[in-house]
Amino acid sequence: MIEQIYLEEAVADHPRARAIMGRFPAAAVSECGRYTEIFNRKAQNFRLQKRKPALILARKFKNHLLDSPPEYAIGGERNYYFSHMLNCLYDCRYCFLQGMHRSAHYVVFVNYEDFIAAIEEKIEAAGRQTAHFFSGYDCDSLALEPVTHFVREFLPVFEGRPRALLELRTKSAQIRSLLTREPLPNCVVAYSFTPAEIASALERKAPPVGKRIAALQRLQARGWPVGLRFDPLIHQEGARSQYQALFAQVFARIDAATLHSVTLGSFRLPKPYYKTLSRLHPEEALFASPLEETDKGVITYRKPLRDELLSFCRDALLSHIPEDKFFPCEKIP
Amino acid sequence: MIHLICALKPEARPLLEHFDLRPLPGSRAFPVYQNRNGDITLTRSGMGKTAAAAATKLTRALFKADKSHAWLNLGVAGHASLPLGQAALVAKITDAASGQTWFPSRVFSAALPVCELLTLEEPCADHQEVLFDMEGAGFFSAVSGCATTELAQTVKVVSDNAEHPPEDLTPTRVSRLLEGNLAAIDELARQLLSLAGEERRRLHPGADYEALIRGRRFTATQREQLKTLLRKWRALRPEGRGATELLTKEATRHANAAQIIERLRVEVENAPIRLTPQEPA
Repeated sequence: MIEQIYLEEAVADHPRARAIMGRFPAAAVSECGRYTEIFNRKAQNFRLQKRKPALILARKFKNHLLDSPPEYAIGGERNYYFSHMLNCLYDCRYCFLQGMHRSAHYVVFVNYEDFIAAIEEKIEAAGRQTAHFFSGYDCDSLALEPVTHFVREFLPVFEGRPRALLELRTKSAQIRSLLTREPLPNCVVAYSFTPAEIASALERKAPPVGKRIAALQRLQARGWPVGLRFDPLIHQEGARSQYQALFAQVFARIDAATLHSVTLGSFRLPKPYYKTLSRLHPEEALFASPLEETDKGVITYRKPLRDELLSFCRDALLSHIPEDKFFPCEKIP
Repeated sequence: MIHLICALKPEARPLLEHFDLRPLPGSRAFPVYQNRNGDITLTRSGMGKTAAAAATKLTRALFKADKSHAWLNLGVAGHASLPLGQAALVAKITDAASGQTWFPSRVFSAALPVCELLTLEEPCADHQEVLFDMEGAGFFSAVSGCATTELAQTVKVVSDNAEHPPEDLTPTRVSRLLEGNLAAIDELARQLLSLAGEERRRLHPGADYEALIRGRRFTATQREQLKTLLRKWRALRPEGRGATELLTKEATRHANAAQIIERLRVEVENAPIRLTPQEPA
């Protein structure tokens, strides 16, 4: 799977880097000073690199946690996101990562201890307030678990800290690390969904919708709090009936009563990202959709279409779940 | 299109024969060859980093190379322990003089082992556990301005090692070392050529665009609008029609630039959005 590893000199002797490299004994290893010598350099082609991404093992020196925008909150008073990894195993056409990074290589920051220290510091600082930590912004939280052991190492941080919550955002069916341990009431495993017809067109290399639902069902049965993320909402001919069918499929197998949260948001991208994505994938009908630019430079569906799909999905979802579990992201900047 | 850059005549000879490359007419600082199809060229730089950089730049200018062109630097190199005749793909190039490094991305399948390359100013008989040559860094410094790191690669064939010093090399032996790896080089060149073709199709506006602007006055802005609309048109393929088919109908054959853009805009606006399911793997 990984044929080339780039190893930052600073982590050459880090036990986690050595362990990860040990999982790819056939990979060629090249040392570099900083991962930025390879990652996001000019004259790189994300689409070509996505054919065979390399693995970069690096250290993150600062900004281990960042403030999460309030519109993405799911009830927490303080909200942070963090990325132990950059880029994703999957190849979703709407994903902003393709617009944000020039490289498709996977970067794993192996100094988990620094992320964990930063999380502990924020939990302490929050005092009696709730602090939510979102993983899965720059990567899928679970997809590379057999390689990174991210979940295995981060979950203990949240044990016995009920005012802190970890969200693992994913499309992955790699749930063994969760099924083989006791569930944590303050770790939400949140699955992203689009209808099967849209997923099969746009979510390349990701597990099919049915497999995601099956994984979600197993996690819920095991006692893990689970979440549903219908973000981005994607328009195409027949989208309403496709979303209707998706909701029916999900709620036929998921217990809405014990569901942690549901979010909803329209397809949106900063304009520079949209331009990059549409150049990378000129054949993609998604980028020929009826879109408009907002005052703040965000490309999204034209307002009537956006409102219509959001409103339809909101009503459909609220027929399955109570309002206090629903966190729509309806405001487009 | 792929451009091969190599330093010496004995390195170039087997490649010229294998790819059926003929000298390009005209006088230039470096000899340049091209095949009949016009999709493979070879430029012979002579020895050294500066010459390799200059030959690469000349090739770039001569063929108006954009980011859809692929590049392959080929030649012999020393290594402490690899056997003579062993070809290797280069994953990291270091310029010994400046310390600058390049990391070509490998996005294709290759049976060749992967090595690091150190480019020196002078020939060296003090072999190390990396490949060393005198051209690789020059090639990369020149090509990194015009190519993507995925489509610029280097393959070196071991010509000398700790047991076989470079003094033993003859031009005939150098040619034979390259000849012994022609199958692997050919396979790599074909893969790069195929990727370059994909990129060309992605980057270039296509035959529709050329047909529509021919004989009409489009401003620079209108050309960009037309490119964007044609991209959307191709993505949506309303009713399966090609843009030229629609726009060369009698009614629009005499349309001006603004009318063509408006016609396309209306067609794109009214086309249903149908996302195409991916082919099963």
